[in-house]
Formats: sequence, structure tokens, C-alpha cells
Amino acid sequence: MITRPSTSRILEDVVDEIMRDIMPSITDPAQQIRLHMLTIVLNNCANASEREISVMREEIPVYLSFASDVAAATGDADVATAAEAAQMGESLVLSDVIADYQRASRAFSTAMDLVMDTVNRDFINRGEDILRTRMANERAILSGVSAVGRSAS
Amino acid sequence: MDAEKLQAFLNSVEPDCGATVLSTAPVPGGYSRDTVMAEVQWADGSTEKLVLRGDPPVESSVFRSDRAAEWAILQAVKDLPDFLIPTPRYFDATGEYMGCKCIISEAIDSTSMQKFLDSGPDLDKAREDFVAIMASAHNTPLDSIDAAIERPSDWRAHLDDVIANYERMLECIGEDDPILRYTLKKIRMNIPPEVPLALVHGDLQPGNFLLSEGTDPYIIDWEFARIGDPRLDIGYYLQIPMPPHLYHPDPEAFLASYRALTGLTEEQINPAIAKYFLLLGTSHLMLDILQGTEDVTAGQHRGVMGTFLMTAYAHFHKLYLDYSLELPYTAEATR
Repeated sequence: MITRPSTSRILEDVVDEIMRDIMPSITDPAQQIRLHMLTIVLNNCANASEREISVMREEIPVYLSFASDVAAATGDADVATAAEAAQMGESLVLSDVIADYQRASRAFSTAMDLVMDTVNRDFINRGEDILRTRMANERAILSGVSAVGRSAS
Repeated sequence: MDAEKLQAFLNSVEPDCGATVLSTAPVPGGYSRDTVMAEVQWADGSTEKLVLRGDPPVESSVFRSDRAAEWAILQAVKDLPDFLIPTPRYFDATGEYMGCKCIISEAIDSTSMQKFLDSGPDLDKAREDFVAIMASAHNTPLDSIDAAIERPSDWRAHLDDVIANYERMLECIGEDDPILRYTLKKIRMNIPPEVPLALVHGDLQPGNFLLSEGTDPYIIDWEFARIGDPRLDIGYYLQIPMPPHLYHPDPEAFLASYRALTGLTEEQINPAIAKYFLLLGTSHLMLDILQGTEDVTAGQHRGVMGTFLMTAYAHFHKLYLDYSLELPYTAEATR
């Protein structure tokens, strides 16, 4: 398999080509904005291609551990079932990792719902820290700071 | 929405006015509707600029709103004494002529308040002006608005319907977003005090206020307008990223002015409740964004917005988590 350049580097180079050689030749402001939007999407894809599998594989055990601990502490059968149904597989194929991540996320949310309903402060604090970490990882990939154009309408 | 189509439309709706379409040019920048500026010459030799506002093709758009509902709102508010809107002139309700449902309004020789803010004005004064325009919409007596505009049965039913946008989001993406689930739970734990229902704009921001010499400001882009909780507009404005912001430097001053003009109490609107309403005031947009991402996931093309709005998804996601983390676990949490 060819590894040099990496997928992220290829996408960055495509963005570079668009910005240096294609964008200056476009005179229609609407098309300039569209192209600028697309380069942001490509930059996000470059970020994601570098990290998204490893980020999800790091987060999955954290979600499952939280759900298992909540199930053990509360004896709640729904949380236990959700945690047991969400074990991480060995496949590193992206679609498989996404499926694992979604199941783990559901297990986490089932546990979090329970500790919020019962105002279990220790678990709430731990769960909120997990959410903060999830957000930090998401932001690292999708910066979410660009606002090209004028408004929602 | 080109010159030829507009010409055919005007020939049909104004057969005796001798309209000649001199030019049309797209106006870039809007995220949801296609906008075109047209210049028309009438039989008496006078010329006029018109703004055409139409729906982009479904397969290349993300945000959904109903042009007929927007036209009904425009008709309901066009003659109100409290604020100005560009006169809505024509509506191609079926898209027979314009190729899409299209609202045609007068063009106002103006600058947007956002551009004015970019010029470095006194921001304290600008904040007061912004609040006054916002309050002018919210103070509109509901009995002065055409009865055809839908009214919620009561405040709580309306709020529950807005909160249900989160359920719709979760259903859309398969229930597996812990941040949205957490946010929804915190929203339900912190139901705010009731306020009178009012005319809500739905996209109230300086970019949608037009300043024109010698007249009061105009409010444009009514596509998300409805009768509802006016605090939705305040919450919505909190997330507008374009600087300079008129709320964040001094929330207390902003809200004190708003309370003075609307009569709401500090219990009804304060900085914490304003943040709460960011969670609700943006939920209609987030729902459309998530539907767009799901369509892309399913292999459909939704235009550049379908993928670009992942950045808005991340932007709202962070705001939702940050603001809902601040909400307390109230006694209602256990009910």
C-alpha cells in the first residue's frame, strides 16, 4: 500500500491547489464562497483521516467502563444490557469502528440518563468529564469556527 | 430566477404596467434561500429594484422553510406600526413562472446593521438600537396579526414543541449522540418561567436589520417567524458569530434594556435564561443540519451545505454542551 503521501497530506495539497491556482480565476462571488466552503470541508476531512479511528477507539472503552460501573453500582438491568451489547470489536475498518462507537455511545447515554435522573453526583461529574473530552476531540477534528457567508438565511 | 422568468411573471401579474426587466444578479451569502436583485423599468420610464427570494432545489439545500408561510407572515406584519419591512409585492406561489416558489419584495436602499457595526460605531448606542428593534417585533400585539397565522394553544405547549426538536434530532440520527441527550435532559430540568407569547422572528441578528437614511430600520428574512416565546430570539442571537457582538460584552445591560422595553421581569429574562434559550432558539436549524448530514450519510447529495454545515454542527454541539453544563440539577430533575 502506498503510504506517502498520506491521505491527509493529499487532501491538504488539493486545498492548496484550489486556493493558489483555481480560486483566483473565479470571479463569481457566490462560487468563490462555495469553493471556500469546500476547502474547509476538505481540511476537516484531512484532520479526520488522521485521527478519527484512533479517537473513537480511545473513547469506546471509556464509555463502556462508565456504563459498566453505573450498572454495577445501581443494579440497573437496562444499563447492564446496553453495556454488554456494546463491546468493542477488533476490526479497524472505519464503518466497523463507527458501529462500535455508536453502540458504546448509546450505552454511555443510557447510564448517564440514569445517574442524571437520580442525581448521583459522583457519576454525574465523571460523565460530564467524559462529555467534555468527547467535545474536545470533536473540536480537534471539526473546528466549527468558520462562518462563511452572512446568515442562516 | 433569471430575467426571462421574471419578465414572464411580471407580464402575467402586471399586464398593464409595461414592465421590462433590465437586469438580474444573484446576491451571495445566504445559507438557505436563493436571492436575486433585479432592476425593472415600468411603462412610465421609472425604474425600480426588486429582491427575489426563492427556494433552492431540494437536492442542493439543507435548511427547510415554507415560502407560503413566509408570505403569510409578511402579509400579516407589513402594515404594522411597530417596525418596517420591505413591501412584499408578489408571490409566485407555485413556481410556475420563477422555477421555484418565490417572494418578490421592494429593494431598500440601505446598509445592513452588520455592515454598520463593522464601521466602528458607538457599540453601547448600537446595542440600544438593536434591542429597540428586537422589542418592537416582540411588543407587537398579537391581536393585530392576522388570525390565519398559527397560534400555539398555550405557552407550555409551545415550549414543549420547541423542546421536542431535540427528540426529532435524536430520532433523526439514531439516538446515539450523548451530548444532545444530555442537553435535552438538562433543558427539561430547567423549564423557565412563562412569558406572554409574541411575534418571534427566528433569525434576529444585525445582518437582518436594514438601516436606511430618514426611516426606521427594516427587518428582513422572516422565513422562520412564528408566534412563540420571544426569548427564542434572544437565545438565537447569542450564537451569532459575527463580531462585534452586541450582547456578550455586557449581557446585563442588554437584558436590562430589553426588560425596560418589553415589561418582562428579571425572573423571566436574565443571562442564565438567555443561555437556556440559545439551546432552544437554534434547535430548528440544528434539526435541519442533522437531517442534511443524515441524507449525506445515506448517499444523497445536499449541495455544498450538506457537508459544510458539519462545522455548524460542531459549533452548536459545543455551545449546547457548554451551556447545558451550566444548568443546575433542579428539584425537577427527580420528577
